[in-house]
Amino acid sequence: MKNSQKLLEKIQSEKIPQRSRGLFVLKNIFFWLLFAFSIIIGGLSFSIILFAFNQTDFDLLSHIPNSKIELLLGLLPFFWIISCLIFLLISIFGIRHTKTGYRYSPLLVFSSSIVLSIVLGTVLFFSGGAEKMERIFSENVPVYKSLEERKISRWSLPENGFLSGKIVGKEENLIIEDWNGKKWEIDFKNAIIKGRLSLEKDEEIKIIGKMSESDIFIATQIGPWERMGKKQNTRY
Amino acid sequence: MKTTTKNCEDMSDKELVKRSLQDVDYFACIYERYEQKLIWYILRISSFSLEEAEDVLQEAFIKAWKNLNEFDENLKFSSWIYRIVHNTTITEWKKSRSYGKDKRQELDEEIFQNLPSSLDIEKEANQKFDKKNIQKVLRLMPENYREILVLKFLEEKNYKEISDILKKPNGTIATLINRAKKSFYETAKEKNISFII
Repeated sequence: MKNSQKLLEKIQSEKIPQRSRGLFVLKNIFFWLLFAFSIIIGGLSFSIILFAFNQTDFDLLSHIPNSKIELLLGLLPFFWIISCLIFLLISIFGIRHTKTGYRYSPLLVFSSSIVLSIVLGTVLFFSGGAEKMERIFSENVPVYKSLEERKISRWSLPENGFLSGKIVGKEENLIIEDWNGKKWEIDFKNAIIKGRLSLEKDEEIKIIGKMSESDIFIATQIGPWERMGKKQNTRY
Repeated sequence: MKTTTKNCEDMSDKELVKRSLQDVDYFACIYERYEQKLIWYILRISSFSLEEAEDVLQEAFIKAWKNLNEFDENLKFSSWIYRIVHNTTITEWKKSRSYGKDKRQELDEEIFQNLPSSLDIEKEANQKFDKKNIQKVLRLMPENYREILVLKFLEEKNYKEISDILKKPNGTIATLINRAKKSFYETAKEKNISFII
């Protein structure tokens, strides 16, 4: 018996079915969608990285004599950097598994994914999408510590010389209430005022200085708190 | 039972694929058209015996049958079927080796030596080559280099076809061919095998 006849016999006797065309079309669409979705998420992550860098107090580094690396690592938005990298890899995986994806060189796929994420991320950053996304994320993901929360943590270390809160009174010294509700007396006689500040009641500020007693803080620099997304022109 | 009774010599591959989707008899035409070439190909990239190569080919065609709707008309049918046969051969070859049966040692030397060969380098250098020793060098080479040299110089596929068969970009294929050629000469030198007559 010819081999071709054996083949026909096997196909017919075992009733070997053919996979439908729709299945292959769907598979191809799935991988293109995976690519597109990953680029969008990668772009969003990149936009939040930009947002985080824009909001980060890198000048804090100059006030820390030791463990600058530790502080720098604390300032970097690792969650979003890792998210951006993961979705970059998923986008490459997606396009490589489309019907014709193998024809593109890995370098081309890699660089075009990066460029697309950067372009989309930059557009989202300037259109305010990054801030909204970050807020939605922090409101809906319990384990996620928002950029605002991280900023509060960094500026709630009076023993290390960093304090922040809202001005609740002004006499010879400023009276502020920190984010935990504790009242502090701020000696600001020798403090440098950076940024647009009138030091009036209800103004939110951040202070660099030295704790002298359990509720007295001697300020060397005072700047506006600059809530996320409501940044003033001058950086502190 | 149906057997292949169709007259399909004048039909193109793509026409045969279309008809196969309606009538399985035409699929036998495709099999017959490619059987010899693909058996040679299996033998060249593995060290299966002829009987085993026939089994591998049968299995590859069953896979092709199942996935016939996936065939993209922008692709050459030969590239598509070579891809399936290539993947099936590599899978089966690895499987057979993992069972501790390294057929490389049990190769039917006579079959292997009689495989048709038309290495392009022969034309390039205008020299006569000892086919037996060329096959010997190929068998000593790493699989990825061996398969690419087989496709380029023995199967005489162009870069685009090799790219479609191995699912790798053109640039990668060009690099692999260069490295494989280098590896071929180094292997021959290392093992002291002369293939120039």
